[in-house]
Amino acid sequence: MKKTGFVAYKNIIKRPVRSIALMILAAVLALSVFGGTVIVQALNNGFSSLENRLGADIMVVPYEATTKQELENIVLQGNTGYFYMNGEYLDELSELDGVGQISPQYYLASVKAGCCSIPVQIIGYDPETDFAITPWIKKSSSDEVGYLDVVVGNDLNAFVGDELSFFGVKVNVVAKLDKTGTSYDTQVFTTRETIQTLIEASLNKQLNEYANINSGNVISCILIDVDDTHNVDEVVNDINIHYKKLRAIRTTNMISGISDSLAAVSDIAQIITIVVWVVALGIMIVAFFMMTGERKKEFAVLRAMGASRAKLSTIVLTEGVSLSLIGGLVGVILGLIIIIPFSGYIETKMALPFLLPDAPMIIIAAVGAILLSTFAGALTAGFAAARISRIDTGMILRSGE
Amino acid sequence: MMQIRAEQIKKEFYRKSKGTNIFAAVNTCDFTMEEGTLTVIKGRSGGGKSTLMNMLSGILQPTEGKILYGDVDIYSMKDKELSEYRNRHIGYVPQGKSAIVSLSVIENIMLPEILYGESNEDGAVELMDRFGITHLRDAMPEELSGGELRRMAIARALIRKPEVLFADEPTGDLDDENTVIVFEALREIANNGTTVLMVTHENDAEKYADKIYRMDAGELSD
Ligand SMILES: Nc1ncnc2c1ncn2[C@@H]1O[C@H](COP(=O)(O)OP(=O)(O)O)[C@@H](O)[C@H]1O
Ligand SMILES: [Mg+2]
Repeated sequence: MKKTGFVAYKNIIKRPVRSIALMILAAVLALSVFGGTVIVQALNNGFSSLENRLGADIMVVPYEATTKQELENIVLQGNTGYFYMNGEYLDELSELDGVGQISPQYYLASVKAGCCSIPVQIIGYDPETDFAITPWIKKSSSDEVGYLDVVVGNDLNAFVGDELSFFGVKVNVVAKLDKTGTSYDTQVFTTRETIQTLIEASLNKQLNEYANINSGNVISCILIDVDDTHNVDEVVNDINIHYKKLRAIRTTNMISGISDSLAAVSDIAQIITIVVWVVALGIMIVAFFMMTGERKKEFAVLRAMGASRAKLSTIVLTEGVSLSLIGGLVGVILGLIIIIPFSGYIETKMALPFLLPDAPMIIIAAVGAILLSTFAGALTAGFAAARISRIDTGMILRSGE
Repeated sequence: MMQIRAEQIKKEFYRKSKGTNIFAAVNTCDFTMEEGTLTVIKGRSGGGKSTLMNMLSGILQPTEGKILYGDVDIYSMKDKELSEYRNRHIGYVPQGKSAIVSLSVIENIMLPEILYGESNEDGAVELMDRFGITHLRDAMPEELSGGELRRMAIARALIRKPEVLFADEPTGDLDDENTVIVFEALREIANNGTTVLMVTHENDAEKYADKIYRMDAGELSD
């Protein structure tokens, strides 16, 4: 049994160019909202993950490191500078007032790992005192990260129980980190002793990677968590005044630049979304108006056949809603196809932490985007429907053409 | 017996004409059609024929006066009611091309049924047969000739078995052969009990008519 909607359906099918154009517009609407929401959310997630990760309040690096390399890069890109300082500073700083937890890290240059196609960054840390990496461990096979054990970042193609080889040295993956949206995702963490072994192995193999390092008591950076009774800035100033060769940085300052770029990206995403909406809605309204002008005679005929004004509106609305609903679906699917597989790419391109929202959030964003674009379609079709339902049937029919 | 009666109807439009803004396309007149008759209205273009027909067929509200279908004052109904009334009781063959281009021939013919969710191919098939367009069943309107399109429009106007049929210049764009086909069809429809009103320029139409009117400059005359 065919109903009024059939007229709308046939019109969609038999005017493919117009229908596809309207669908594409709706898809663009949905894509902009969905993509914008997911990207901005992923950046916000990445940012809070980054804040958490910097569970350390203060990061202390050799003074020359601050000029050598942008510190933000160290945290985000994993472009760790290969800077080193005397390990004795660790003991000295731990004595300072206000220093709660304190833990060293050692940065190593990239090496090609058997596990991965990309050069992995190996970071040495001290599992005993660490408070920055351990909280991210998602899965582990032992309580301890011992000699020749490694912890791998979430994006690496290596899993708990695997054996990896660096410079011929076999190491065991004992833990894997949760997704952080930062450089941790592509790094490998291990103990100081293991790093020592790896350096020696690389020298023996004459790979010469770490020739510049004296294998003595060096560290790259010190992470400090200030105890509750002290002010972070006081401790920072204390270190900077007393240790000219070091530089203490408030980690929140380090990421303030990121927070600024995040705000900028959010603003840009918002502006783009608004522009896209204004343009696409404008085109849709014009398209529907043109369509109603062009089909005036048809609507007058429908009216003469006994279609009420309400039925004419139903036809136009059915067309608008179905096209924008399908378009919205297409837009969201496109968004999923683009954003999810390319999130790694987006992350490196934007040089910002990027952590996709979880499935329920993505679903909410998708449904929201589809509803919005459908609503936009219904609204523009609504204008056209209002116009169509007011046509002067007698006038149109008497003119013949 | 359903008589169609127009009582003191008049149609004015807003348009600059000789000093006033109001212009009467149809001056006050009475008009009656008896069941099963074929009435023809002739007259020069712009005389008000279509305006009169549209008032009679329920798609143009008169400025003054009433249109009665039997006892029913059709313009006392709300749009929804009147639309349904038109759908069930009034057939209308519009002037010129009136096909819905996205619908096939059979779908066009079933359109009045489709609008009310009551489509049924049997009636349409019968009408296509009667008007010799069965072979065009699934064709699209753009593939049809003027005569075929007009026969399709007549079939569409008859699908609901209306008591009244209006046809505005149904032969305006047709050749002689098709003109005769259309006139004969309308005559036959009237013979079967449907009240038919036709507006035309053709002098030949008189042969088929039970009653002939002239309409010039808004004045209706016998
Ligand atoms: N909706 C309208 N608004 C203004 N003028 C109209 C309208 N409909 C018809 N007219 C005018 O009324 C007159 C009669 O028109 P019409 O009934 O179409 O004549 P006919 O069908 O005899 O050619 C014409 O002058 C026409 O311009
Ligand atoms: Mg006319």
